[in-house]
Amino acid sequence: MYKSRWSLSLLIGIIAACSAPGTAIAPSTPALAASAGLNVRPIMSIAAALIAPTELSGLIAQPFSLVRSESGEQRIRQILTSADGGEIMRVESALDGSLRFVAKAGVALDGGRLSESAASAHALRHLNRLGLSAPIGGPAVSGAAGRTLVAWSRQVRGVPVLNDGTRVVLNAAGALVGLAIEESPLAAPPSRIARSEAALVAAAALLPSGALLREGPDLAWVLPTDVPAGPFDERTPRSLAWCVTGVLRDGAAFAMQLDAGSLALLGWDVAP
Amino acid sequence: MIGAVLLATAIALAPPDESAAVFANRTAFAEECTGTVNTFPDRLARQARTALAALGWEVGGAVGPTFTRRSLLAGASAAALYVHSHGDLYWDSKANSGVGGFRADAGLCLGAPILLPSEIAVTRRSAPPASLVYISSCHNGERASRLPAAFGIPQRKVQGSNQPRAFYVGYVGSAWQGAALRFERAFWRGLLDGATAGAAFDRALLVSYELEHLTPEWWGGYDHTPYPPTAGAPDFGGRRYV
Repeated sequence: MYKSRWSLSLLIGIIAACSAPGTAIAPSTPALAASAGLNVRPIMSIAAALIAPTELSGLIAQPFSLVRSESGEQRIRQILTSADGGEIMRVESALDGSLRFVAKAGVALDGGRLSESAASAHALRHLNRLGLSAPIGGPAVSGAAGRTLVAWSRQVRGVPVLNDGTRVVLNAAGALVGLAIEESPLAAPPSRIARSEAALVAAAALLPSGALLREGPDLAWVLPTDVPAGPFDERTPRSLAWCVTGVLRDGAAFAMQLDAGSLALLGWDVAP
Repeated sequence: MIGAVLLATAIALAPPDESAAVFANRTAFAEECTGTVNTFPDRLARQARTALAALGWEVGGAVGPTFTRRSLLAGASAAALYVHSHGDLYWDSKANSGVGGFRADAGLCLGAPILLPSEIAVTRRSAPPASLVYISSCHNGERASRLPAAFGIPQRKVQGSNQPRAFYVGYVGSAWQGAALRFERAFWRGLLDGATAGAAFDRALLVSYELEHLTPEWWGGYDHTPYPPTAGAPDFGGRRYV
């Protein structure tokens, strides 16, 4: 513990020392990180797996920075820019060096659409090329704005952790637009999980007048989306919850999350 | 009433090409209308307002009952606009088809006035294309929605040469507020990091939102940077996040 704290302090000191103007020559990130006891893969080596060698020349690795992901994980961010300062690619790694996030800017908007099997194959190829292991199970494939999204959800003992997992975004030709790996912290599960029948009764009692339940209850690890006490911070550990969905009297869909143990209202979401 | 007057004054004082407007429907989602507390409209509007101000825009608009048909039509001439409300492919009798649009707040749980693309187009008749329009509602990212055209933004995605200096974001189908909050936060963060609108959109696709709850769509110029004309690239003073 003492060693890791010392390493982190050293890293922060190095980052402060490297907070030079953007025109500064990029420090040797791996060397700096190594001196802080961290194992960071340099962005140039990641870029080499994704960008043609002829396009790599002239690109500049900016000084790296220490950031927090939305789920609260500390990460090292590296950014690659063109000579005029335009961002080409950004990469985030966990402090143990494992790759968490890659985003390329300006990936071509080719026409057409990938089949689900082709999209999965392209996504797995990109993960493999970057040295990432293939996620377990089959992915969900969807499209948005000319991009194809391939997502593997994270499950803990068979229960999904909503919004966590591995996501790969591709263009219509299968080129990588970006990837993200999220593993949020989980709260301790309740000592006793309420039965689904009891969850249904509790949900029905909380329904606004005129609302109807449609699906559920299903168990999931969730970040409560909206609560009477105010919004949760993204860094709040995910809670085990019974989730139900339905429609309000005006026809809008809603989702309700109940604490899996106490059946108290955890969160609420609406599709306007 | 006072809010509407202040809004109209603010919009009149700021040059249209420097002004942005943020509108959010609070009442239709409030506890007295749905039976549940809902803080999403205020959080979504706050994100948008903070980001647009940091990008250099003079931000007006209305959240809650002062978001009326009149205040929206007064604000629709702004060069950057954000709206969060109920949306649908509402029927336009003049067009004889479902054309998109969204509801005002107007302090009503149900039956609030609908703002149609044709009304907005009339208001903006002499205005240049908007720089950034973000309609955070259901259905207004669908091709059938004529809102992009009402703001002078072609329903095309353009990279390379001859890109429109405009960017429109909407959602296809139902858009859940929880997912929208996460996606929009990432989009604004991308813009504040200096990304182009298209790159910020691509980056937001990677944030952890429930894919079944949101299908974002965009039109316009991928490399457009939605800063006010006189601002140039804004200086964030080291502050990068909303």
